[in-house]
Amino acid sequence: MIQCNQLLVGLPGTGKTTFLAALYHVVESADIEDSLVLEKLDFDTEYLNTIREQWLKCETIERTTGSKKQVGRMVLRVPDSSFRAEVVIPDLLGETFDRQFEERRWTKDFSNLVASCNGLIVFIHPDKVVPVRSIMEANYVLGPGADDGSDVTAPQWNLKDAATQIKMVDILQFILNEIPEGRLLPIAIVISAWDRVLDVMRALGEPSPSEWLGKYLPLLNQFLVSNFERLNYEIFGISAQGGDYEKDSKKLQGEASRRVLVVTKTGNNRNDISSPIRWIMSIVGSQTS
Amino acid sequence: MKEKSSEEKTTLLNSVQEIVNAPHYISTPELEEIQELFSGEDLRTADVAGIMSGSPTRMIVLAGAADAGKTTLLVTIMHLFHKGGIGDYIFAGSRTLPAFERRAFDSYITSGRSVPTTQHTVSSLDDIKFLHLAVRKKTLDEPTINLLFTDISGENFRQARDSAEECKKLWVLHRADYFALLLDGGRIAEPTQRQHTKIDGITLLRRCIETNMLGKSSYIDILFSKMDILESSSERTRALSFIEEIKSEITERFVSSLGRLRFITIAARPTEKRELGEAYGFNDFLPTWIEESPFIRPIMSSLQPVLPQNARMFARFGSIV
Repeated sequence: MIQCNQLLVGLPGTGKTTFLAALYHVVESADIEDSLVLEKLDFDTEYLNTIREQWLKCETIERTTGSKKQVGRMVLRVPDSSFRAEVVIPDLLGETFDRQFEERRWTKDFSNLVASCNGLIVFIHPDKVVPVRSIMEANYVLGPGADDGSDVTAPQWNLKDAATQIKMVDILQFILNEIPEGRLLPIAIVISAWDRVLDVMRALGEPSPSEWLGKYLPLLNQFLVSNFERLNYEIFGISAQGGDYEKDSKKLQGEASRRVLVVTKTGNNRNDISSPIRWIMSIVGSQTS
Repeated sequence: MKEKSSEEKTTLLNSVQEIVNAPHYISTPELEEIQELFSGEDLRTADVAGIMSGSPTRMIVLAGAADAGKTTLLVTIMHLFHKGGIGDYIFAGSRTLPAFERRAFDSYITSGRSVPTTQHTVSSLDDIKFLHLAVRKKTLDEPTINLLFTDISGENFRQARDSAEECKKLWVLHRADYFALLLDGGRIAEPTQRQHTKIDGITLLRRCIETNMLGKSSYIDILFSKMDILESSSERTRALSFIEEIKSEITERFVSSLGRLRFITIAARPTEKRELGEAYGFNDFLPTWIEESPFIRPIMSSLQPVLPQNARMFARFGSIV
């Protein structure tokens, strides 16, 4: 059995906990053919059961902030195979990463998590993306007269207002700095709430998560492409909820595992939310064999 | 004071243990060991030496009077990468993303402005600072190249123009792959500013050459900036002709003293003649800043400059190409 520690990375509200809840349900229930299966249940699953219950009820998952570490720890097995991995996934608040970016420091505890992690699952929520908003480009769109020189009281520059792609690149740079040279870090990029952008991307004729990343977070996309000696990445579009809990309530009433939508970089649709974990396991497995 | 019972001690210890075990997002800074990460702000000489020892590096000195557009040029280069790359090149990283963001703030909608501006640079020749950008060819068949840009104020260049002693503090010129001198096209379009703009640039160039800060191993780009203002000016024809005069005079006086001399017209973010488009003219110099260096020409072997004391740190890191 291989050890496969995976770190969920993402700014606040990007879907990390919902992913973990749906993942636990899918691997424990074995509802989805060919999904990873939970082989052993000999760890404390209080936290996982709590968030799973909320997910099953189509409730917005509330993060608890108790004193216990909120860690998903599972022994997962590839179906019809003896390939198993102990997967440890600490569920960290998005504010953790915001603070690291703004304060330019992290705890020794977090540093140890990074040092021991075998792969990252990086979450981006399309509704939470803060773009780079250039005055010049806005004026070009608005046309003559837009740049009339009438400035409102200028707010002070604050690093916390930086665009999402700046934050994510810097956070990945922090993490890669801790990874020894020569070790290839697998990074699964998860575009969460994929159901919310699917129609728009289809209308654009660009239905894959890769195209979404290149279009909306080009700096991050370039960073991932150019650092191929340091990292190995794969992009997934995932809707762990399967839709909007209010608008799509009827559609979401069926078998819980089936409401999950997973789209791979090539645009193939699946229900297997364990795909990113499995992809990282396969990379780690090939590195250790 | 009454000593605590063993039960109380155990309870206390458990409480402490619980806090220690708590997720790190719970604010317990007094119990947490903190590790500082790279600041993201301007790099100092020691930081730069570390970067240069790792990958091929190009150092670019942006020179010119205050308001000539040095910082705007830097911010625009970064903005092009925000949007998807420049020509054949893509973004590969930066140790100074927050420093770029701070400089770019007044060109963002969040600044509350309706016209993009750039804050004046405040700097000291005794403590030259740098911004870092790593780029790579899209084909990924070549190594990452580090670009290090100086952000030295126009006031510092005025001091260097006026004093040999101050000019010699520009030790980075010895290591610079490019010396880009920006001459403000908007001022060239103003009849009363025209002559001064020319003399200011030529005198700085002469000072740098006569103090041996620039020489046969130096690549010089003269960038006529803010060409959108010049192109839309009623003085356009005279201003363009004046630019030709500047080119002729600089070529005649200095080309034999320099490794390479080019003249390029640019407009980083045109507000007047918008059809020029963002980063007008950048393709004429940026790819060569990445691809070419005087330090990879064979001629360099016989023209190694004598480095001043401040530059010795760079000299220790021989990995230039």
